[in-house]
Amino acid sequence: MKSRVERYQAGEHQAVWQELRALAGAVRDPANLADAEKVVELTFARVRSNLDSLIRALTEIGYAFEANSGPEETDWALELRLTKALAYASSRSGKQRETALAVFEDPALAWIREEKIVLPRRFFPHPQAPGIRCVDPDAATEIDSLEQRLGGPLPMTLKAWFVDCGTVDFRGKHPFLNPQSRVAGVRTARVGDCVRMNGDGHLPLFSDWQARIPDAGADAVSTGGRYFLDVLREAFTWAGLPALAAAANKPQRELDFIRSKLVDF
Amino acid sequence: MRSRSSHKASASFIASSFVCHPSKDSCWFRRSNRDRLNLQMSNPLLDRYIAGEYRQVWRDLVDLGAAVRHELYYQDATEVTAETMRRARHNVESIIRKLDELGYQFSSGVEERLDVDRHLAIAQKALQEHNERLASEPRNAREAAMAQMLERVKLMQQQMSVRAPQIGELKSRLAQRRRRFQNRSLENPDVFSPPNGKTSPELNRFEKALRGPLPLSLRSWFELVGPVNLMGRHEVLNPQDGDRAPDPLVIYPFKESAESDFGEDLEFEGETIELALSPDDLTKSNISGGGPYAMTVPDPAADALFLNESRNTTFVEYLRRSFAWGGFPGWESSEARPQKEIDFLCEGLLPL
Repeated sequence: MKSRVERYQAGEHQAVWQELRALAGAVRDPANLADAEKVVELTFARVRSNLDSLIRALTEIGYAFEANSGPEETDWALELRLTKALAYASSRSGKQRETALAVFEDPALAWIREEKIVLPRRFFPHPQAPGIRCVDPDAATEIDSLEQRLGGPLPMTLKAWFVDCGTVDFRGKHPFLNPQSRVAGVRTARVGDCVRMNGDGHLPLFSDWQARIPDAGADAVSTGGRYFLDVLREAFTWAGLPALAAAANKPQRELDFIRSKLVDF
Repeated sequence: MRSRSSHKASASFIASSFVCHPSKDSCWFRRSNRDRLNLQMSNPLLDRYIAGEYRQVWRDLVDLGAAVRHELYYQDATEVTAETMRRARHNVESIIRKLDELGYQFSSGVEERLDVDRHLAIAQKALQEHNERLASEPRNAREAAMAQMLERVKLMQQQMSVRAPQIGELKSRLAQRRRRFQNRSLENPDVFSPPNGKTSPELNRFEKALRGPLPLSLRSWFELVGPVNLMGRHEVLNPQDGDRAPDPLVIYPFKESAESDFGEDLEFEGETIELALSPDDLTKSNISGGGPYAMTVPDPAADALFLNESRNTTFVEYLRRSFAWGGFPGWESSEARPQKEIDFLCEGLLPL
C-alpha cells in the first residue's frame, strides 16, 4: 500500500489532505507524524512556488503592487553601512555569484539577520526587504515561543506558512484585473504581529480569517470551519484577489494566464 | 478572431473547472492550461474600442505600461493602435482635402525661414532705433550688449546678401512646387508623406539604434499615417502676424528628425533621447517659442507624453484634440475662432 507521501506526490493532493484533517490531533502520533510532516513540506514547497509564480505573472502583466510603489524614507546610516559591507562581501567572493542575493550569505553580512534589519525596498526579494513577499528569518523561533506560551502547538500548515512563505501583500492595481484597486488583494499578517495580537485563542492571518489556536491538527481551521489550505487555494484561483469571485465581470483572460502558471497543492 | 459565443463557452467551462471538489481529487489548474491559448485569440480591447470606448481603452493600454507588450495584450493592443491610426489617416487626408477647398496655402515652413533677410531688417531697424536714443558710448552692460547685437545683425545681413542668389533660386523652386501641387496637396510630400515599403525597415533600424522600441502609438503613426505638415497661410484659419497660435498639426518624419539631432549613424548617448516631432505652437506662428513637441524614446508603453505641449498630454490625446479642432488645436483657447471653417474641417472626421 502506498504511503500518504507517495500518494501526494502522485497527485492525490486533496484526498491525502482530507485524511490528514480527519486525523485531527492524532496526526502527531508517531505512526503518522513523519508522513504528515513530509506532506506538509511538499505542500508548502508548491505553495511557495505558486507565490513566486503568481508574483512573477502579475508583474509580467503590469500589476502595480502597492508594496512596491510610493515613496520610501532613506535611512542614510543604514545605507552607508550596507554600501560598505556589500562592497566588502562582493570583493571577497572573487567569482561571480549565482544570484544577486547570494552576496547576503557572506558572514560579513550576518549582522543584517542578527539585528533584524529591515532592508531598503530595492533589495526585494530578499526576505528582509519589505515587499510583496517577506519572510521573517526568525519565524520558527517566534512560533516556538508562542507555542510554549499557548501550552500547545500551532497547526502544521500555519507554521509552515510563516516559516516557508512569510507574509504577502497583493494589494495593488491593474487596468483589467483590479481597476482603481477596487478589489482588495490578499494581505497576510506578519508572524511577529500575530504573536503579539494573540490572546483569545485566535490567530488573525487574513482580515476575514482567523485560525483557532492552539490546534494539534495538520491543517489550520477557522472558527467558521474553513481550512487554511482551502483559503489559500481560493486565493490562488483568483490571482491573489479572492474578492474577484464575487465580481460581475471577471477578467478571464488574466485569470486564465495566471492560473496556467500555478500548480495544484 | 474567435467568436463571442465560443469565448463565453470556454470561459464558463474554465470557471466550472476551478470549483474545488473536497470529496475527490480535482485537476485544479490542469484544464485551464489547455484552454489558455484559445482565450488569447480574442480581442476584447479592440471590441471595446470599436464599440466607442476610445479614451478608456487607451487609458487602460497606457496603464499597462511596458506590460502592453506581454503576449496577453500585444496583439490586441497593436490592433487597437492600428485602428486608431487608420482613423487618424482618414482624418488627416480629409482635413488636407478640405483645406485645399478653403484655399489654404500650405507651406513647409521653409519659405518663412528663407525670409530671414526680412526678419534681420526688422531686427536691425529696432536695434538701430534703440541705439540712436542712447548716448554715443554704452553706459552699462545692457547697452553694451545691445550695441554688440546690432553689430552681429549687420554682419549676418552681409553674409545673407552673399547668399541672396541661392536663396532666391530656392524660393522660386518652392513657389514652382507649390503651384505644381495647387489643390492637390495630398500629393505634395511637403504636406503629407504616407508610408512606403521602406518605412518599417527604417523604423526597425531606428529602434535598433535606440536599443528599445518606440511607443506603439508613434510607431503605428509612422507605419500607417506618416509625416504631416499643415503649416501654411489662410486669412482666418492661420492668419500671419496675428496674435494667435492655431498650432497646425505637424509631425516630422522620424528619420530626418533623428538624423538632424544625432547624425546619420544615429549615435545616441544615454538610455533615452527626446525625439523632436513638431515645432511648438508659437514657433509654428513665427513667434519665438519653446522647445519642440517631442517624445522620450525608447519607451515600450502604448503611448507616451507629448513633451512641451501645453496640456501635458499624450500623443494620442494630442491627436484627438487636434482633430477636434480641424487640425488647428490652438483655436481651443481662443473665443474669436473661425468656427465655420473649423466645423467644415471637422465634418466627417472619425473619433480616436
